[in-house]
Amino acid sequence: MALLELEGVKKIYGQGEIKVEALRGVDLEIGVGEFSTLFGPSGSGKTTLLNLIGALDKPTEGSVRLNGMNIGEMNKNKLAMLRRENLGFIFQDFNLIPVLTAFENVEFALKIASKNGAPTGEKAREVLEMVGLGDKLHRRPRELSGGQKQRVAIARALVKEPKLILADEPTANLDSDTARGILEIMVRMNKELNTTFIFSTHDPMVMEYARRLLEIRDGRITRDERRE
Amino acid sequence: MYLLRIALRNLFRRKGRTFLIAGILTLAVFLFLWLESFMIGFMDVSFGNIIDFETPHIEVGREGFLEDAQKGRELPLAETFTPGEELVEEIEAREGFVALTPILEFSADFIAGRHQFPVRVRSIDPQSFGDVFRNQEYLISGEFVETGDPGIVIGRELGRFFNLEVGDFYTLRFQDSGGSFNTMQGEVRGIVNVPHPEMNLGTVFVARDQAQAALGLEEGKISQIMVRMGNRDIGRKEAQNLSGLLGNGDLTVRSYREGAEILVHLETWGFIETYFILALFLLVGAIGIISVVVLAAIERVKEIGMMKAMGLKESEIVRIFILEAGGIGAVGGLMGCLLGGITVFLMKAYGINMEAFFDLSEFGVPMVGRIYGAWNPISFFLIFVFVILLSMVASLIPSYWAARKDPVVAIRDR
Repeated sequence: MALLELEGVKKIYGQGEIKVEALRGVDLEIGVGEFSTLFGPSGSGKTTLLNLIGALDKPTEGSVRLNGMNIGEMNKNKLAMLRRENLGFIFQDFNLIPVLTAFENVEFALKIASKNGAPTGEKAREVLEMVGLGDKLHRRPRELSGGQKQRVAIARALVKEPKLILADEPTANLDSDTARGILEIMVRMNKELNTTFIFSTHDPMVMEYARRLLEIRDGRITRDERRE
Repeated sequence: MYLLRIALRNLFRRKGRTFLIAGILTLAVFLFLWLESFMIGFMDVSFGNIIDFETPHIEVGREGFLEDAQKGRELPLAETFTPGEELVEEIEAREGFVALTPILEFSADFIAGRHQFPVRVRSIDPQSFGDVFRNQEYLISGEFVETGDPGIVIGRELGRFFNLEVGDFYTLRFQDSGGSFNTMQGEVRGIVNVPHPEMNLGTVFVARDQAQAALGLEEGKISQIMVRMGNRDIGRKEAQNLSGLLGNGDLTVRSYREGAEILVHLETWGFIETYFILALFLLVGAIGIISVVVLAAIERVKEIGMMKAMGLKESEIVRIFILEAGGIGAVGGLMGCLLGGITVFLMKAYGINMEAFFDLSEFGVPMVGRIYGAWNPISFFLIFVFVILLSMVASLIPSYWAARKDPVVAIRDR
């Protein structure tokens, strides 16, 4: 069974006469362990599609199933629980909680996902070490560089071992060398943990690393190419 | 724990804003504790002076007499009575009974030289008077009246008014029980200076046997029985019990509070004013809390979006903001209690000299000199908890507003 299934997904914004059709019928299946990139021009519907996959929004028509669960039929609390247990997010602005240290940002994500109150500190430390921040555990976000912040964001997304990680323009605010380093970490995590990644990007470098390219134009998937 | 940790650390993100609102709450708590301590101290001294020098815990007399006495009218001799033994035994059997003394009060003009002044003459039994009242302890010259002695004890202010000293002559002019004008004459035996202004000016003391003869009253006739009890609470309770026992009879029973109408009104209005000031400052504080949460929510839209993406429920995000508001309330409450504690300590130790500001006797307040503060630990606890709860409640609506932000919009907010 596919991890993610989209069938005839449409998303229309606005009401009355002013309507914007952001997605015009998307069908897509993503399997476990895939490393896919969603690309296309601005306004093509990448972000809208990512929001639907991430259970942050619901489709106007069609269905989005994550791990067999239809997000269109879930209430706010169930969607929150779905995101908590199954999804990790990485954003171009990092979106770390500024009052928490690197370690606390990661441990917090694990704590809220942890059902039985199991110890979380060791795991958080381990993941931060995996992304090369073992020596910066107790730094606040303002004391970290852009690349380091993004690595914290990756650790935060990975620490709860979600089924799917969604990365929205994760390299947009980074220089090339830092971006490459970040991508290599994600490739390694994908291989080692078999975590599924979906990127939304304009960055050709990200596309180099992807094993599946999904091009979106005018709200439709226009290209779906798998690479070895 | 993480929600609390985030909330507490958020307090220091905008220190100026946090401490401004906490400062308003501090002021509210401090003012409340100070005013309340002042009011309790003020009332304690005032009621204490009434009990010690004017009307003790319980007063028994005829309704008509007590009412006229309370309203400052001419005291009616027709309303005097002879207490039976049963009544005295009933009073003495009350729980917490300490002592009683009979009083015969009447209205007269105090005359010395060419001047006269209306006074209330309190004719007393010197043997038992000191067991109920403390006037004798405040003699500044001479001695107190004795049975068989036609002398008089006056207050310091009356003495100053007539320029009288111990040994000087006085005349009291009054209407006796037959309606004829009569006089009592003698020497000023003593001068008292009690901390109850009315008793220093408008009340004089004579021996009851002398007054009875001059008024032409039967032996044993009195206007009131004054009763001292163990404490004020017992006094109020036993006044009620005694009143119930006497039923619809000839006599009325009053507690010290019923005889001090002005003071009871002052007490009520004083506390209303205290709570009004508290409410005013807390309202400003609550508006401040609402602004803080709204501003914080606007500033932290992306954070809220990220937390939602991580899977936090709206109720958990609300909890962060409410805890944060509670934190501001706790800081304000703590600082207010600290400042209030220092002020109450100083008030209790040194007091405030009210005479330096105004003459309280002009307002009918039975006290002179310093007012000392009083500790009320329950108030410290309650106001601290209340300020925290109020801050949390004030933040409820803006917190929900913040937490309900659409994650799709919030997360990409710029």
